[in-house]
Amino acid sequence: MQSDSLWIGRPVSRVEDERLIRGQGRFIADMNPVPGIRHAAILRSPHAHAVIRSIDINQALGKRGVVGIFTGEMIARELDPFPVGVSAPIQYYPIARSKVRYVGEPVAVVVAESRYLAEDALSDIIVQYDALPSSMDIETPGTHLDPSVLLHDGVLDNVANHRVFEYGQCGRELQIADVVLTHRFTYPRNTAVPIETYGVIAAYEPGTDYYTVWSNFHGPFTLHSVMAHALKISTHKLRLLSPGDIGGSYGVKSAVYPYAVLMAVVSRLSGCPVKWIEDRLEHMQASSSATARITDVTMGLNSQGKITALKLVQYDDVGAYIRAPEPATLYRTHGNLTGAYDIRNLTVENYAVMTNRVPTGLVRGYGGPQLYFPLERMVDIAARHFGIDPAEMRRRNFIRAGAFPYTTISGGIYDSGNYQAVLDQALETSEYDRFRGQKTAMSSRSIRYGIGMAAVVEPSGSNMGYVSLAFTPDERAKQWPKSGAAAAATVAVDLLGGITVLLDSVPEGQGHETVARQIVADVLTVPMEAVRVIAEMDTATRAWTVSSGSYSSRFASAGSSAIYGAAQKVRDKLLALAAIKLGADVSTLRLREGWIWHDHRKTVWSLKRLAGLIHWNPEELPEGIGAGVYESCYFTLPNVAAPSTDDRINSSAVYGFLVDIVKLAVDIETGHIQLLDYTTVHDAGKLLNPLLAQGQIHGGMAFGIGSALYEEMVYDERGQLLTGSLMDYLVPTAGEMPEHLNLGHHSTPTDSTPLGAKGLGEGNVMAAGAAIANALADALGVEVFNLPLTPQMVFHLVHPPHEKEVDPK
Amino acid sequence: MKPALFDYFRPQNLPEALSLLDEFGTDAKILAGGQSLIPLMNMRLAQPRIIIDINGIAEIGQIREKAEALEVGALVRQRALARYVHTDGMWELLRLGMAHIGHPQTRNQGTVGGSIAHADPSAELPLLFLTMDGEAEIASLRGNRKVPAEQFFQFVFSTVIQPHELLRAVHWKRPASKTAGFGFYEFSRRAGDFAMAAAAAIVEIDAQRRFTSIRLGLGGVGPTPVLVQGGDMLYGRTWSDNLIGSWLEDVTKGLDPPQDLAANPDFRRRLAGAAAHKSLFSAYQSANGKWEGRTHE
Amino acid sequence: MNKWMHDELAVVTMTVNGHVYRRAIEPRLLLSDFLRDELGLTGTHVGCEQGLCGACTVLIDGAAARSCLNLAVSLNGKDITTIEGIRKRPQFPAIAQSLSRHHGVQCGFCTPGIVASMISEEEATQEEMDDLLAGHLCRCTGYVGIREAWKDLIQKKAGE
Repeated sequence: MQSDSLWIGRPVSRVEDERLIRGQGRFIADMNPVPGIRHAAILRSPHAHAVIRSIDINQALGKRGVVGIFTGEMIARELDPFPVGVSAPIQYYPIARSKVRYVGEPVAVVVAESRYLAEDALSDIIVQYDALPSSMDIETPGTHLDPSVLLHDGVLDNVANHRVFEYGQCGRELQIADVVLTHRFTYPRNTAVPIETYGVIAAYEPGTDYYTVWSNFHGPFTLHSVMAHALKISTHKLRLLSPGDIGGSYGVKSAVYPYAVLMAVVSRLSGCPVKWIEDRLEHMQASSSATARITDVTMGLNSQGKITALKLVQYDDVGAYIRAPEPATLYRTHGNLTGAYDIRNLTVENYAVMTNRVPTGLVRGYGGPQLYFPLERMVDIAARHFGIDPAEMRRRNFIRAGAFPYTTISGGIYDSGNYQAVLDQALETSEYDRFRGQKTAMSSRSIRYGIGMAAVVEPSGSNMGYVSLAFTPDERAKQWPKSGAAAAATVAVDLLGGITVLLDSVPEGQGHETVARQIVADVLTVPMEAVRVIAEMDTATRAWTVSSGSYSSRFASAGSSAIYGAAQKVRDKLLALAAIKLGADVSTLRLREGWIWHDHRKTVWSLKRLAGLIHWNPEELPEGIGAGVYESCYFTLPNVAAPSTDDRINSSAVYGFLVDIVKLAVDIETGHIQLLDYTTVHDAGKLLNPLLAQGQIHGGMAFGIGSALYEEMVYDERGQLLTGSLMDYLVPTAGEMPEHLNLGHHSTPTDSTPLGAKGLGEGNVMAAGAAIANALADALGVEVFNLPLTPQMVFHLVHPPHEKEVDPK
Repeated sequence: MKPALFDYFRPQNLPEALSLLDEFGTDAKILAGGQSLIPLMNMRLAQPRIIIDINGIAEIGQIREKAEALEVGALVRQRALARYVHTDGMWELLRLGMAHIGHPQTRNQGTVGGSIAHADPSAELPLLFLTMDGEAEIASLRGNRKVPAEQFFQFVFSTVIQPHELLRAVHWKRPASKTAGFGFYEFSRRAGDFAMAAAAAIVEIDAQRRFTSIRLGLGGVGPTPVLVQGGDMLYGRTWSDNLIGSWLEDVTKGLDPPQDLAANPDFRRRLAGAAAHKSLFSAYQSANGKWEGRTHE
Repeated sequence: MNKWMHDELAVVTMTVNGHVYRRAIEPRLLLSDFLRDELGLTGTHVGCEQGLCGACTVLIDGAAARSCLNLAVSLNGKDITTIEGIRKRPQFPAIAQSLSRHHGVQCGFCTPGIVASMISEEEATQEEMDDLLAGHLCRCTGYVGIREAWKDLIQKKAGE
């Protein structure tokens, strides 16, 4: 990277802000990109599991304003099922065909003059169901479930995916370990709750069989081919567009894609462009959610408290279908399953189990909180077993600072880090020792104080190949290998030197336009105002690739690298032209403040003049300099190969690190937890924009605090969702945030990315649950195995409802 | 989602509204502030055939000072009442409790009468209304009647108001004693949420700091707000945590709280006891402070 | 007395951002949809239609309120201000600058509603500010930047 960067690394305010604060953002619901749009509403299943006996749409068809009504059978007839990422025979359509498998599953679609009228017609569609018993458990593989609770023909025990991985000698090490600890942990189903819901506008062009679909989809664009496959068309016939403004996602809007396909078909069948804006009830019930996970952890340690072996049995609740990219929650962290620790013996057994709940998918942290809640809790439990401080326990097991790049036993390549230094900084910032010393004295009749931590290796820039770990090596050998963590960007200079950048990263609030401006302005040595960034996505006109989009914190690692690369290509082209014009060696030329400098002298050639020459007078261009200044860069991060035949994979390109330390007070009478302060120290390599980094961390903390204390999608035993409104599904408000947030950075350089940056927006989501649960366990002297830590649950920890449960140590 | 169709009537005065109610009865829903009704209509959980929008009736939108009570017209917005009583210590309990209702953005629109008539057992205004011994003025074509708060609530979302009737005003009784102390405490999952358990307390003490009167109301612990009986056993005694604690243990044993996601009945009893304890303590402290103030005068 | 039966259109007159609009609408039309679909004022965002997220907050006769919890027909004769009107007010640039400086905006979907609350009570104390802010959900920022921005405005005001 150039050392004279003016903008990269500075806390630049965002270029996106002005339009958004003024209410001039352009979100999907604001758009009417084609004339004649009609509005869709979806009839959804009230049953978690039932056979559809009949659907009568006749009466509804006669309602005022109705353009058309389409049942699951009518729609699915036009489609192939979506490809799924497992070998189990699961037919997933965007709408139920003959059987519904979760409450809220689409059953029919009404198209009408307005959303009001479309909803009116919904109530006149008569569906007859034969209810079936629901399957809600995920810990029953191998128990030979009754056929009536099997969700899909030919899928035994509702297990969509089962794989066992052995690395090292886990079994033997557990036998000879001095201490073996075993516990079961449950991570709940929670979800992202962006304030903007899903939205799709689909327009079908009959003559050409082209589909144009606008939606707030943000990738991964692997799913473009999944959608085209379902529509039974070649990929170029499906044009996907995403608006430049998307009202948050945190992963969950990747699962808008089934609706994109649904509305595409409905547009074709109804003969008009169709707009569907999901409402909040639909979103809570039927969009997507994080997987819930039960983890059985067995940890072997030697007498010094060194972890010698780790066994994880992970049961993921993936909901009613396995929807791509699931079962990726099980595999995203595969290369970093041993976390921050030097553990050389590992066994992992993975189950993806289907239940009568909404299918799961990406939610901020994806796979991380499910892994780190049990892992980081276990480290604390082990520390308590040995009677040593949790910080010391971690220190004894951390990968040494000199050991990077470090290859984990499951194949992850940790590029850089200094875990001890980050921990030390977090301990110091949080005044850890002082609080530990005082907390007992501080406690009163009903108030107890606790402090807890979590140390998290934060993966970013995921390897496209990791999902294929769901297949056995033999199955993989029959497929094309998949790998890489690529991104694309385009930088164009017009005839008067105006600079436009086109992104493939589809941001939903992360500020990519601002960072792109910083990077391009630095490379081309122009003011940031000279650079315009277009974040709108269009698969027909953008440079993009299979892994494009925003997920797995890939912008700081992959996305920004592609922008940097494209800007360098523009710079190099202009310099090459200048070198010829000046008769100088290109290595003696520099761009400075938008002008070409030769050695230490400013020349008569500016960026604007060079671009002008290229556009206005291409006849004069020397050999080797093509017309136009429009450079795309496809960048892929290094070291992200396809899984090896022995099932090892570097599942992400780079790995940051963070330590969170939480202090809390808990009222043992009322179960109320008050977070006193929250410290987080990150190593995310070089920060491209510290202001935005801070915003990502604050947002991640709030998200993590929500999942730790408030958020859970609760279903009853019949599969009815009990938390279907924002009254019941509790998203933290400003009042629930801790007053004191301490944020620190300790950066170790990495050369895995050209700009030295790693992702950082997800780490706190991965850490918060464990850190807060550890603090609570510290306060109460009782172990914690579930989230969220609701007042009722805390109360029951202190006052067990029945006999006091004995901890099997 | 969007509301279903309905017939919409907007009466300009009370008699018009009452004749509509007389005509349509159970088919009609009254639209006041709408902060509870419209969400239900948006989800199509409520699909009233007829909406009677009373927002145009100026005569029920007034606050009037009466000899023994503050008369608050049914259409008075929660925020307006909170502002009206803001500086007057006599209405401290009202002010304390109303601060917990939803958020300012909903209190700007939500009406005092609407919340009380809606009769959500975990809402603040019904609890305050009961604890403060208010009186409901109910109008119909057949005339007005007044119902004391203790007889007003019948069940979850159900009151003595008949389909042909309209809550015209709520009368808030002025506290008899200048030295009464007030306390309000609420457990909710988040700021602004409905109460898992709430307690409102009015305490009077004598110069020796002995209880002479206790009025304690509990919310969120049953199908209606509950006025706790038996406080008179404590009259003549001064504050002690144990004394209050053991009384409240008896009180909460007798409750039959609902089961929901936030709390099972046992835990809810616990919370109700804790909320009651805290609200009584605040009330006792505030009464004590008033005596102190008086001695210093 | 005004009455409209079933799908009969009601005639409403409303002042929105200083302009008087007269429209024939279904009585069930929510204010949020009236503003967005009838008047094209898409700065008011709809996040839940349950009155809980706060994204659709506008000013009704100057007071912050949820536009999704109001029937447009019920507001006949009222004065409504949306973000499109707020942004023309002299106080707006200071609010916008403060939000941007403190990084109080990420996806920006909740922002216009929050700005409406911010401008609705300019004399708010910090406690009242917390109360108002708790009436908005934001999933991006953890509220840190928003709170800082608002606090900064209150402190500057107090310093005047």
